[in-house]
Amino acid sequence: MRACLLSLLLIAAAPAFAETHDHDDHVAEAEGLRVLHAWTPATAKGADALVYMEVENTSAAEALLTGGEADGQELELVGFSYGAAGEAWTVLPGLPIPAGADVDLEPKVLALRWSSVPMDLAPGAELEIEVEVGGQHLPAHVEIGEAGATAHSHAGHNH
Amino acid sequence: MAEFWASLPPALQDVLFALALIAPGLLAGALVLRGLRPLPLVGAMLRRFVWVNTLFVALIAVSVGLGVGLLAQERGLRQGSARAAEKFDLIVAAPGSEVTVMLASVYLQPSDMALVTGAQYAEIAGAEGVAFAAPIAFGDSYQGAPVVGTTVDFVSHLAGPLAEGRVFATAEEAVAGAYAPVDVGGSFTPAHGHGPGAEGGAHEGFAYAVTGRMAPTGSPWDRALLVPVEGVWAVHGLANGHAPDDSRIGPPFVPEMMPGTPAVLVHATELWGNYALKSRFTRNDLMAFFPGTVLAQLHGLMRDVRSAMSLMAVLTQVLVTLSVLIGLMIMVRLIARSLALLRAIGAPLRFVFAVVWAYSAALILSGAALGLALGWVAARGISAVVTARTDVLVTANLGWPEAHLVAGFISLTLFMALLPAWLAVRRPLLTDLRT
Repeated sequence: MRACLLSLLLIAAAPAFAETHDHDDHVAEAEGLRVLHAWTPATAKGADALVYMEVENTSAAEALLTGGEADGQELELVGFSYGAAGEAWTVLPGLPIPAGADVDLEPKVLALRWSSVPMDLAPGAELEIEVEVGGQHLPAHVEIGEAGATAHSHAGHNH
Repeated sequence: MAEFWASLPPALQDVLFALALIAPGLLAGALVLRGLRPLPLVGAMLRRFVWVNTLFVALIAVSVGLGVGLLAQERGLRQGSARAAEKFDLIVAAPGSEVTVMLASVYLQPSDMALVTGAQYAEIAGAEGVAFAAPIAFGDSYQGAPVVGTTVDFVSHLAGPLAEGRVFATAEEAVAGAYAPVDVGGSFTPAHGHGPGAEGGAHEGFAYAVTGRMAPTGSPWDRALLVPVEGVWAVHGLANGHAPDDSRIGPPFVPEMMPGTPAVLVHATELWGNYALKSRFTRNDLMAFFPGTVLAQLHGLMRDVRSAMSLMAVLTQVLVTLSVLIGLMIMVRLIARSLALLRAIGAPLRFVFAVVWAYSAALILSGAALGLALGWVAARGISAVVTARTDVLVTANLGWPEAHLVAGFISLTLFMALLPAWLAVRRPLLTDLRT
């Protein structure tokens, strides 16, 4: 009887746990550094994927964002430029985030580039990466949007 | 396969794509003409109906030329506007519309804007990683040319070494853009405002002496007159950014004595610095943005329009070719007796088929080649008009997209040309001989 009640309670509570988990998925945090709303547009195998996110530094010291890692491969920090020759992404050595400040990695500005992705990144699927910031390796959960997506599905939410 | 294709150099991808587009048409031609020599007869048909053929070729050429010219022009305008914005690394302004600020500061389309204050400017100019922060203060004009207040650093950054003379050294001196309406050694009194409503006498008694001329930049700044920002403030009866006994020009400015500026161009010492500075100055009381990003987003929005334009260009060409082919079908009826005679003296059906197809192909290929030339001429002409009207240097040249368009058109229409050839060999021989 007790086991039945416990099972019922667990089943009833499952959606609530799932909801909490869904929101936590958008945030990765360690020692005052937070990575929020990581996302990438759907990308075909072999092409370059650009991963966008918000990085907050609530610590008392400047933190350097240098790149990341996905599936054992390097994620490069790249900056966008546009001129007569067209669009270009240039590898940056790092980006200092002052104490108390935040940086938005957003389309046509800044991104973490995963060159020649080894598998299709399909819309609706998820991806686990590590973001290297302030000497930390923050695990982040990346939402894969539509190929033409321009923002995270929770953009504007204050988690 | 996708990985292999992505690994190829872009130029090779373009060549292979063009070949893939034109290959079906050429293959059809090779199959139709294999082992036959219909060209002498086709040459005779081209000479016999020279005026009709000229009209058909002209129709195809105009439709191909329009498509090619439009595509080349759109790309030229996109590249020209992007080139004009290349020197504007990072713009900081009061919060508002990024597009409005970009149009005002990069393309000199003045607009009413809130000002960046002296204290804010001092914070920007003094931030770590800033090589220079140049105020861009617009609003006055002279004979339609914008008069813009800025600093020596900005002049050097925008156009490099001057083509003539020297840069301004006092608040009453100016540097002219490459095509500005005042020569070196001349002087001008700015009008307050711009356009037909500009007040010509508002700054009477004040004149700038032009000491130098910039090299062309391909941007609207080529028509501008650049003056020390202190001159702009002084001519409007404002403090000039410096202590009363300080007559020098350029930064640093005294924050309390600086009236403000609509926009600030920020140039970082390192490339990454631009991104750090953008993050730093994107906040409630300031707006920082890359004009390149705004422009790329605007051009991205136009991508659908571009695709629609390409589709419409192809459709127009196909429709014109279809009408030409219908004309050819009517012509086949007129030469039906000659074709029947050919068959009567022993020419195989395949030969008659090849003659009619090759005749159509000659018109299509001539029209397409002439259309490419027409498109190039049209693109150059329209570029000159757009450059004169916008001051953005637009150079439209033919490229791979146009080559792909024409290759696809040729391939498709060579297939369509099989139809009149097929109809020609299906005609009743005896009836045509008796006609």
